[in-house]
Amino acid sequence: LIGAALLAVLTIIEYVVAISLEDPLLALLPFVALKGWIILDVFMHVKQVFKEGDH
Amino acid sequence: MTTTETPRTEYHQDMSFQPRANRIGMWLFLVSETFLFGAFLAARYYSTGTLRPEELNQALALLLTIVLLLSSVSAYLAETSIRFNHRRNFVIFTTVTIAMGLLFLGGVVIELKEAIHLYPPGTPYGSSYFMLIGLHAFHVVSGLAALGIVLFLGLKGHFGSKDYWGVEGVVKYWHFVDLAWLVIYPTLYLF
Repeated sequence: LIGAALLAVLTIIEYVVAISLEDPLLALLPFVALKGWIILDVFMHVKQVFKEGDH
Repeated sequence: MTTTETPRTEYHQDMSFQPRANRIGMWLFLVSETFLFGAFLAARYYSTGTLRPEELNQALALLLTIVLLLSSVSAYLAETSIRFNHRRNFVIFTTVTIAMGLLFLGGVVIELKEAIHLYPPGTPYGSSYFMLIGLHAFHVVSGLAALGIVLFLGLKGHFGSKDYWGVEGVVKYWHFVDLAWLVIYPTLYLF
């Protein structure tokens, strides 16, 4: 649930940054990367692929 | 019998082997899907740069993003529930996920109805917009179909704490659909 809350907060900040700046491309890239990593790590357990056994 | 080969049936009985193989197969599939989305995203930047029309429905897009993120949370809770044999919670959270997926699709239909007049598919931005939204919506539809099958099987007593790969695979796919939207959303609406 912390991951979900973080995603929601980042999405709102991302939106505010996007409407505030003239050219927000570079400013928004860290948000995309961070949100992507949260989904991959918290929800999809990507690290599990690199572990030897199954849980 | 002199051969030292492991009989084929032993591989199938080794249950610790199978989930790992399934997971690696699923991740490879998702990586191939990433390339597909990557090609369409690249086409958008190549054809129109970071230009976007002012008429985009920002409020609706933000709402759809939140709905899809919430559906990922309920999908995660559905997977966790079946891992701990909580079938009732699994059914509830899977149904919530499907409902939110349908809500997302409804929003996409509203978006497309507006978009077809404001930036038709014949324009550079319109072609990128319809390709990306259409490709993603197709993935949402296939994810919903898979979730529906998993829910149906779960209601019939399939899956449990030792056999939940079917649920895990579908939920991973759903998270991927969410992940793809997290890149498509700023690409079409914010940059």
